Amino acid sequence: MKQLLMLTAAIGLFGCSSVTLQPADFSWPVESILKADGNGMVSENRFAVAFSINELVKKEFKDNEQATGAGATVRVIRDRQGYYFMTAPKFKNVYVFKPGEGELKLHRTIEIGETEMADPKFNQRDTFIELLNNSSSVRLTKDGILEGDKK
Amino acid sequence: MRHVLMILSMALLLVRGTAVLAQSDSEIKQNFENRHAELLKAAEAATTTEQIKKVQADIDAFEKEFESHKAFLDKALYPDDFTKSLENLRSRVSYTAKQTEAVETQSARATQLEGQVKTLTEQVDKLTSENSSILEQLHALEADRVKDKKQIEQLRGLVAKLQKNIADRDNMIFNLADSLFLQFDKPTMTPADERQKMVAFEKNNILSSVKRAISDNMTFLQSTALSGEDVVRLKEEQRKFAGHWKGVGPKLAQIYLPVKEKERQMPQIDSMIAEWGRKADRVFWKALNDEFTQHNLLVQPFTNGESFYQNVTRYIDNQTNNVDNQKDDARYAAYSTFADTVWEKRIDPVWLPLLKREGMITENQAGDIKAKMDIWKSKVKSSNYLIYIIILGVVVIAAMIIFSRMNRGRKTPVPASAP
Repeated sequence: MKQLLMLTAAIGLFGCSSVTLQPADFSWPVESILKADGNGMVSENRFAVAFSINELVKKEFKDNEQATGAGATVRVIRDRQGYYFMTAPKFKNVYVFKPGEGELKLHRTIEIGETEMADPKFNQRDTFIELLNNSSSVRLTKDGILEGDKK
Repeated sequence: MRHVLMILSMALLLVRGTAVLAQSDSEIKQNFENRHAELLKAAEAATTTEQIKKVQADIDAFEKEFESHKAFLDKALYPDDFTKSLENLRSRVSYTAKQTEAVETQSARATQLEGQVKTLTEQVDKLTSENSSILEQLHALEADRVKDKKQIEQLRGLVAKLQKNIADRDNMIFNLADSLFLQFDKPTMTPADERQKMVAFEKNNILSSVKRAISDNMTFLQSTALSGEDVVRLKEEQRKFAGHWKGVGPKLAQIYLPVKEKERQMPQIDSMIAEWGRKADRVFWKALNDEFTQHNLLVQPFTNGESFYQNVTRYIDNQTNNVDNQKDDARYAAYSTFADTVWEKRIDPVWLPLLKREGMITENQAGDIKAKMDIWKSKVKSSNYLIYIIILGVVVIAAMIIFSRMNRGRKTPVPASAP
């Protein structure tokens, strides 16, 4: 009887164990330049994703209460692990979001400099995201600027 | 120290250079897409072989320029990758090249047709004017009621020439119309093209040439110098012309749709052709009747294929039934005139082919007439056999009399001569 119970428990435990599919690559080969509609919604048709950028704009321009995502253009790229990197001209930061259930949750705000970026662009690279701004470039991961690129 | 500074400044330049050279992937993609769009536009817009060659060369250069980014573009481009994008461009160029080639061929054909139209128009005009002159000469000779052999020959010569000229001119008019239709045979016709087409038909006097041709043909039919062969040919000409018009008329009506005055001419031409047909029929049947009356063969007049068959067979039947009541020489002469002179030499070779071809009489009816003629012939010949037997009897009796007299003469004793 004891043995039977043990066997049942073992089978039950085996059946409940989580399944992991790996490796997985969520990277977008190239950044998307997305323009928000009147409600601050942007959508990327190729990767079938849409979200509001209102809170992103508000966070960047926290001094400006009127700031809204409506009509704004953002640059978005997704890294291998599935984190979304977002920025836009006049931003000082790059925002890293992690996808959740029906939401994108801010994972990290990466401060690039004290001055606004004029024309930021992302490039997908093997182990990091490259951020170009005018003539300079920095390497980013979900956790910030890679050592060596920090000023 | 100086060396260290130099190395440091060089390293700085290198770092700075790398930074300057750093290029946004999205810009590469965007450049590629923009250039692709430009080339596609150029490929679509090319209208000459030279332009197409240039686009092809540009595509080759474009491929070389972006080849180093192929791996990236294969992933970044969507839905087509780098290779497929270039394939699309090249296939568009190839399509344009085919179209251009077709247009260039069509253009060459149009030039050729234009030359053909010009020649045909000149020929139609020349023949029309020549025909008018011949018709005048013909009428003048007919009015003179020519009697002498030389003038009759001249008359026959004019008729033959006019007949040929009219047939040639009729053909040329429809060739001209066909050439014009071909010249404007385009997959899509703009209102400007339609207008140009109408002007071309107008410039080449198609409608007036058609009307003139019908009118000349009808005038020619009035000539008294036409032989049976001429009449048969003229009737065939009418049928041919009507057939051509049936094909061309509706297309011309479509062209002249915007010009009411011209459009109204279409039913007029239909009526003229119908009138010409009736006239040709009348002349045809009259001339066929004449073949019999000229030889005093009293076949009842006929005006169509059925009455021709009925009246001819009735005549043969009557003659066959009447053989016994005729004098010997008359019965054979009647048959010989009908069969040998009229039927074998005139009706069979000249008229029957058209009558059969046009379905005016059937093969069975023609065979029936021939069979009745054979019966008539056999009756005429059986009467002749009797005459031959009597003649043979008389000859035999005469020979016997002569022979017996000769024998009697031989039996008379010959006086002996003195030694």
